[in-house]
Amino acid sequence: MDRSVVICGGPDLEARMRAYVQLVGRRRVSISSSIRRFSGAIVDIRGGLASKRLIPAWQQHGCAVISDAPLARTLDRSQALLNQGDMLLTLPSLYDPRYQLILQKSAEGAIGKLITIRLIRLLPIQSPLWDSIALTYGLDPLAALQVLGGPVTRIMAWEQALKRRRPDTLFATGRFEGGGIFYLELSAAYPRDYQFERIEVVGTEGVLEYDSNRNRTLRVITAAGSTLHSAIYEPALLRMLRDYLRHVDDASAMEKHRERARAALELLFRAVNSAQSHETR
Amino acid sequence: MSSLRMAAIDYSHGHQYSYTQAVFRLSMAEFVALADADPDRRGRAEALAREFGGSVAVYKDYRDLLAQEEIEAVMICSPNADHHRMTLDAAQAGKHVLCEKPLAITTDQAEEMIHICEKEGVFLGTAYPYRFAPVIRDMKRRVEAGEIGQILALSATNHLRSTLSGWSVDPERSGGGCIRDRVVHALDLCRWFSGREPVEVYAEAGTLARPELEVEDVGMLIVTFEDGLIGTIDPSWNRPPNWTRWGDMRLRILGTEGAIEGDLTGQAISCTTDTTRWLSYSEDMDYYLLKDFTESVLAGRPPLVTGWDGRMGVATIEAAYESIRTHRPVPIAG
Repeated sequence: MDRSVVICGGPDLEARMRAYVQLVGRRRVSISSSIRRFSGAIVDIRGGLASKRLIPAWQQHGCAVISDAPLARTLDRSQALLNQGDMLLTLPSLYDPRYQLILQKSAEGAIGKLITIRLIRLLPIQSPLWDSIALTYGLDPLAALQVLGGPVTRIMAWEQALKRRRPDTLFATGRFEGGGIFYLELSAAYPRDYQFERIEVVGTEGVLEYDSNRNRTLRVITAAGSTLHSAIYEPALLRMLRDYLRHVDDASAMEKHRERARAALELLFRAVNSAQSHETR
Repeated sequence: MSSLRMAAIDYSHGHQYSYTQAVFRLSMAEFVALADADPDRRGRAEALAREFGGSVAVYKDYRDLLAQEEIEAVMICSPNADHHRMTLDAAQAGKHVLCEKPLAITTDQAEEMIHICEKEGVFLGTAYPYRFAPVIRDMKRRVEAGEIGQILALSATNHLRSTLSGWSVDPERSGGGCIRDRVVHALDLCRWFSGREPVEVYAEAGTLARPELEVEDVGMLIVTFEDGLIGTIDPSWNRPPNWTRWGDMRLRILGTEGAIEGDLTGQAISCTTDTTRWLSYSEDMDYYLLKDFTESVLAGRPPLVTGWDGRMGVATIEAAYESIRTHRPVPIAG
């Protein structure tokens, strides 16, 4: 079995991923290695749809690939790539200890039945924007929303180019199958070095709140009082990489991940379509 | 400067107690009378007036109060459904009116209130005290000074605890739930900061925190203002009963040169005894609302928050309810 790993990514992220590969005890080989002799794992974290052209060739050579989404500008093409060969999409939030803590608290019934989820991610203006904000950064939070709240039955979205040539800000709201309401705001138009994330899950019995401006712990507010919870922090990308490489090694099941990625991909294109058509999807 | 003789009509909305105290604190106003049909509320209000040193006339029927010529202005804090009738009666009796939000149930009612007040030569103000909150005043000063450049997007929340009862949750008397109750404040701030009117709204709503209610207790609005500016408003009555503040209102504004965010209800002290409770720790926005209204009337100019400001809130709510029914963005009557 080829246990080596190819990392394809931008300079910042690639350096981080190289360190993670070492942390999980793997050998990193260069992208310049002959792809014909390589049958290990490929971690493709390059942004932009143009960079995805090589994926079918990698798949044909039997490489397992994990890549940032979306894979193409249409749902059909993205799904075709996803279904062909051993292909996974990166969904780092699902490996983020904070999100997992929220999921755990929700599952324990800490806040009762879901009422609303509010997810806000504000990125600085220098963040890469390969395509529209939805196509560049939308998949991961949409996956997180559905994992936390269940399937989305209705979405209404707006995309606006507030400071950049491409749409850099997304506003969306809609309903979960269970009746709860969500709000999603994504932006890559905030001042240099500004970085903010807020997740608020409101239930019939309380509120789960994570606010990067206030503290890095999860606050649970219920009738019994307010408590702070923190998970031992480990980078979400490292956790994801470890799971992914385990999957490549022994074909351990990542079906849940695949299902979540497919559902998020479908919702992403509904959001894009809603923003373009000015109608709910 | 002379003094304005003011009176309070109806204490159904708890703000009236605060407004009454504010008038007693104003040097250019004199609190002279109150009216409420409910004996308990009337008794509490009279006791409050006495505590502040005033001997005031007390009426069961607000129309008897309006018949008193010495009264120059009234504050109306009735259930929402009565704002229209009481404002028309007050204006026709020649009284200036400060009406609690939302100004009316329908846009037609709000427009009639504005029209009758203009015809009778009295001023109509809408009670949007958040414009006078210290955090908002500072944010406004910074935005006007150009610290964040031109406004590109706004995002607001306005939540209350899930404990409302009485007329507030009676659709006949309130006209709706948290959207009717909470949105108008946030919308007004978005209008005031941006200087643009709302033109379209998309809304989601549900009765999810307390399914037994007949009105919505959670909502989400995406409002498009003139020139395509987006403002989002997250209103609810879904905070736990022991929420450590009386509300949860925030406003974030993205501008071409920066971003600014205010936590309007965050300026507080949590005093922990048997239970944690919120204590005010800021200047009183109700006082500044009443100060502006009084000074404006005495100076013969409209107050900072006018009937039109109230009317735009009502028009947006009407369109939001239509959007909730149709699942489509709905134009706002301008």
